[in-house]
Amino acid sequence: MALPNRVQYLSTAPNPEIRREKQREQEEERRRLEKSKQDFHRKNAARNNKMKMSAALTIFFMASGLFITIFRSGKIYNMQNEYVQMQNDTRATIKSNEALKAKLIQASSIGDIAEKSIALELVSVDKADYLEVDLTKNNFMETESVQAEPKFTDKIFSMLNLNISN
Amino acid sequence: MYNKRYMWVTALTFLLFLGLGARLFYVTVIAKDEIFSKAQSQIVREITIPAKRGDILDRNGSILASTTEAYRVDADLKTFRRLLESKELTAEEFAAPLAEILGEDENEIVKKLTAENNGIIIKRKIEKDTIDLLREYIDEEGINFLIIGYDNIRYYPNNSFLSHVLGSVNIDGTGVMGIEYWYDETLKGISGIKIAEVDKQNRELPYSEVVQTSAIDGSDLILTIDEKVQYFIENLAEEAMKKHEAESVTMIVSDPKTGGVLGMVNLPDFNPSNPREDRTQEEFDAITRNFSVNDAYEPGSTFKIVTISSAIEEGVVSEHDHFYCPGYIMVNGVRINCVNRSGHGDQSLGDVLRNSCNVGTIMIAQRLGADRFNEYVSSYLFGQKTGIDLPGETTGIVFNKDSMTPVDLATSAIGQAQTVSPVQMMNAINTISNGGVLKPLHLGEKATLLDVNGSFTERVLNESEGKEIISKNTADRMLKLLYGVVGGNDRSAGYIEDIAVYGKTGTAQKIIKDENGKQKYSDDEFISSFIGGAPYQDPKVTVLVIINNPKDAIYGNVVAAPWAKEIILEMDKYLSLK
Repeated sequence: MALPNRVQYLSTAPNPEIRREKQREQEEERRRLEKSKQDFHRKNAARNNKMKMSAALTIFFMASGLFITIFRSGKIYNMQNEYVQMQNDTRATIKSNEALKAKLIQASSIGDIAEKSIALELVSVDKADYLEVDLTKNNFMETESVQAEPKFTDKIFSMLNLNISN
Repeated sequence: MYNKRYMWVTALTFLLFLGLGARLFYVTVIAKDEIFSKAQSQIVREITIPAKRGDILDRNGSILASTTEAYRVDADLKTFRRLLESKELTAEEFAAPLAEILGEDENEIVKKLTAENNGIIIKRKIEKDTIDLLREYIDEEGINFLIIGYDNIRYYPNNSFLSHVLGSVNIDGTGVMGIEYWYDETLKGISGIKIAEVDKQNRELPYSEVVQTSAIDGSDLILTIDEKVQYFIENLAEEAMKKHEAESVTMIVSDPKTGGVLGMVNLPDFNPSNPREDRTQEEFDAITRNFSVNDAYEPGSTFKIVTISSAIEEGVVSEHDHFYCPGYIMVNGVRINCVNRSGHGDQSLGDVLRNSCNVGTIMIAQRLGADRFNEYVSSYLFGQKTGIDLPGETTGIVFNKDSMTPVDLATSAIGQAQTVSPVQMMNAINTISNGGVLKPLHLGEKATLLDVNGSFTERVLNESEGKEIISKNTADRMLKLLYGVVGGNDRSAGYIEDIAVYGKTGTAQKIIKDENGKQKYSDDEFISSFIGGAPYQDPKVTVLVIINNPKDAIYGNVVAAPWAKEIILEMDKYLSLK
């Protein structure tokens, strides 16, 4: 296995100036790194918060949209269901009406009506049973004069032989 | 190793998605139409909306026939067989309660339930009350093999009343006889259609589109028949049938001014709701024949009105002419007897008609001649269909004018040897009663329809200007002569003191078959008839009475005229005939 090449220093005594400078630089570097780390964490937290917020908002909007859609669809479904139910009820009523109509038709037999009329001792109307009146002409007596009935007070006064007007 | 597993999972997932994708492509692109139609067929129902058959009403709007909705019950026998197997039951256990509810024979129900088919009709034309009971039974027992569907029932509220005129409908509501058949196109309407998505219980699904074309109901048909007139002639015909023990009775009452039939009865009759009953085909065919229209008979002396009116019109006879009747007449060597074998002696034209003298009538026909006689026979619509609005009209049989012999002319003139239908005879008397103008006999007056939009339409049927057969003068003279037969003759059974009845009676021997199958005139079977009307000055009603094979008497004046008198007396209660 090959060994790494080593650097051959001419003198091994350290320069104190160089050492202090290096420490300062290292300190600065450390502080800079610390700051940048803090900045990074702050920015990261802010971005995370923003993402969380937008996700929450998205979820909220989606949930709202879903709720509205389901609610409206449910409402329309119920309305249509009610409509179909009403149609069924109407149909049932029509069927009942038809059944009633059938009974009425069966009861309209002239033979049955005649039988019941006989049982009730009804008589059929003959031409002799009705009067023919021509309503196109004046059927009132021309000569008859109609006089107004005297008032009750007039009758009393006439009985007392009083004449108020005089 | 991990890479290998990763590769496998990826490949598998890829294949899975590839398969799914391929299937998706197949479902949505290649087999899209087929799958869509399969899905549609499972939920989409094409429902026929039946058109309601129109009602038949009399001239005053009384219902003679009407259709209402009803129900039918079918059985899904595949489901039924599965039910029997799974529960170890027998068909009889279901048949008994079903038979009781539906009012059917239990054995019949068992027979239907054990049939080989996959489905069978258990009963049709069921009323709502019965179906409600059946529904209760189905719910209680949890029955799943019975299917309740819709049907309709044609009601004839008066049962056998007017049966030959109204006819009847078959199980599907199509007219097969009488007016129901003749006016089927008018009455039946046009069915509608509805395409809808439905659930398991055939209820329409919400969110689904419904395509619907409404049905157009059939028109209501208003007849010239008057229910009251029909009612009393039905009763009179029944009485006549009983009294004379007749084979059949026919009565027609009409309005000569319009040709409208006010009443038409043929006995025996049938119930239009169930014309078959338990009859054999032969019995069914016989009872459903409308004698007034479908059959021809020898009219006898009633036909003399045609001979004499034709002769008057042609000016070959007048009221002042005299005819001598020795009791018979020889025509081409053939002796034709008169009603009165000892002879009527010297008679005027009026006497010939009053005495119903065969000899006098033959003399008149001879003056008229075969050609002119046949012309009038044809003009009066004998030997051809009159066009009455009833099916199966007979033409009757008249002589061919080219081969008519003098004997044929003589016998035809007195209503023998030729056959006519009652409708043809009514047309003849109506022509004379309507100033010589023939307005053909008909039953349909108008068709009315209230459509889905609520608009009312009315169509007049059988409107006719009429055709002049004889002049007004001839018709009036003929009426006067016919009045002399009944109204001016208190010995006539049709005579009514206050009403100027006119008419003519007839008695004809029936044609029967002898032992050898040859046709011959019967010596003891007759057809007695009366034709006439009232009042002769202004005829308002015409009447035809035919009693077929009466047992107690034979002459038209004795058998038929009294019933015509009853009809006219009854008609006088409604119309002023005095």
